[in-house]
Amino acid sequence: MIGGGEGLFGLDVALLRPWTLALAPAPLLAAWLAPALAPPAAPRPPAEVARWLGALGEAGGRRPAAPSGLALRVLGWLALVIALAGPVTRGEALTTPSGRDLILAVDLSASMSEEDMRLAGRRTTRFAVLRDVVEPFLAGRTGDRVAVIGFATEAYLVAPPTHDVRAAAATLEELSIGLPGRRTDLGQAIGLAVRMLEDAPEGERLMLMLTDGEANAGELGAEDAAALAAEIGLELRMIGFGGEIASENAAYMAEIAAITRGGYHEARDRESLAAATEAIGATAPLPGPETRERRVFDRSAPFLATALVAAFAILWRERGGGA
Amino acid sequence: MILASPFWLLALPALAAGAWLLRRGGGLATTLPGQWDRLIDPALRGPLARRLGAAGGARWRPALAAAALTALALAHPVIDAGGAPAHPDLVGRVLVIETAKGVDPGPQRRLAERLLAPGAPPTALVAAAGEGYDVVPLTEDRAHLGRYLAVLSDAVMPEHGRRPAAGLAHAEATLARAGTVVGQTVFLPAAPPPPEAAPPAARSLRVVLAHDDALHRAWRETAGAWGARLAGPDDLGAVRGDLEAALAEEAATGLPGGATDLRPWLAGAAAACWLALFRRRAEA
Repeated sequence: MIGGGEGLFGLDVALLRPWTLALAPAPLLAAWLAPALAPPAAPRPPAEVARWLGALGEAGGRRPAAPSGLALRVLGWLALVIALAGPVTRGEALTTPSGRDLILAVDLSASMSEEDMRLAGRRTTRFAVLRDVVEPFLAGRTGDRVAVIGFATEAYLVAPPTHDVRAAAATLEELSIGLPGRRTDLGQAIGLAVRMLEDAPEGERLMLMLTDGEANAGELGAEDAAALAAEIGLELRMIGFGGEIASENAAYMAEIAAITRGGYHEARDRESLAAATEAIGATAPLPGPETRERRVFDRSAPFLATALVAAFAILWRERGGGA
Repeated sequence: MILASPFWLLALPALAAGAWLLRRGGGLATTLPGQWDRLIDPALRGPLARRLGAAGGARWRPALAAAALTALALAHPVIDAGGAPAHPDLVGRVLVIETAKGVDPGPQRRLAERLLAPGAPPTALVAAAGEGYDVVPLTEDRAHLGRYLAVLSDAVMPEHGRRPAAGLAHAEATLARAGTVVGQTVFLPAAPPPPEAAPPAARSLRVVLAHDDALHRAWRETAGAWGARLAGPDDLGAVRGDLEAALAEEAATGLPGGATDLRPWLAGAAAACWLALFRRRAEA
């Protein structure tokens, strides 16, 4: 394909088979190489009479003025050659799946409402900053199949696995602290992710867990859940997020992440949280723009229609024996 | 095989009629050009015209063949490659469940569940009451859809009322947000249509899926005004078929590699015929 850019009337025009334009002079070869048609079989009048009759025909001809036969043939030929070249306009890019399941688990325990963060110069809660950073991160994961889990004492699926990343990101707006309980059970959230992915197609599986790390509830131990996650190839990236992360909590989260061959990041403010999500995003690259396929719209119909009209006109002329 | 623009085939009967006329006249008309008719004896005009046109006959045949092939190319035949390319935003369906005060949503739920059978496209759930509300984004997680479908009722709506058009518009916005190329919105009404403004112009395949005959009759006019297919419990195959057909056509004509396009081949054959029109005419 050649062409492209936003050149013609703002359209992204391209030719699928540009090499066929080289056929444009082919009629010259045809005229030169192909056997000639038989001459008209009618007896020709003497030259003087023919001139007189011709002049009479021109002066009093009943036919309306029409393009010459050659002009029609050339017009039709060029239209066909352009149609053969495959003119297309290109539409929007389609999403190329990355083959990755990305699960975002957000801590909704009471401690996330602690106001030890600053956003736009104002004091705010951990959760407000989390939402401010993670929402655009999630919305930018085009190609990933994303799901959102909210957890505290219980864990629940906020957004099921979807490629509609903007819809998944928008669900963060609907989350509220304390809805699934007041305490933190990391094992519940990891266990829910494992259950969700058990029957999912094989592929890269990444879980991004945002918590202030104060795991203080749970029947299913986070270590056991992490072991189950490791079995299904779910890599756990934990972000400890809060004004102060106790060293024992940080060590605990790092240990859990290590079971799944994942990693632990620590974020104490908005900037470090953004840096952590960016670092995690970099380890899970998305399909680049060059891999994204675009819709194409065939624009050869007007040229084919021109050729068809030219053919009809030639037939009309031939009806009267015109040349 | 799919014909993307079948109406161009209407040119073929015209060409066939032209061919018949040309053949009947020996490849030409029976009149002479210019004012030769005034000079030639009437008895001689026909034979002379046929002989004059015999040479032209060598032109009308390739012109006719080129025209027929061009008309076929314009009809745009494509052979389905057997499966659309795997783009997650290629196809989607939104089920719009209308809730209304005092109306049991059970029949609507059961009908909606039938559209969640295995093989269903990514499906989203929208609730329609006084406004449209996102319930579940486009997903293939049928269990999750089923769970939310089971609890949808008038009692859980943040705003009561009946504005089906708002629900439909919200559903189409859901498809647009996901960048869905071939989308279908299936509206499951709770009650006969209320008087209200028409929804915006359709941006997806619309279906009004009524769960009983009375509702089916009541929605006939509104569904027509919406540009929607009116369907009942026995028409789910047609509802699925609409989406499948639209997807097949999109895959065939709008996606590289989605199908084998026969148009270039037909245009090539037409061009080969067209070349014959450039043959020289020998001197007498």
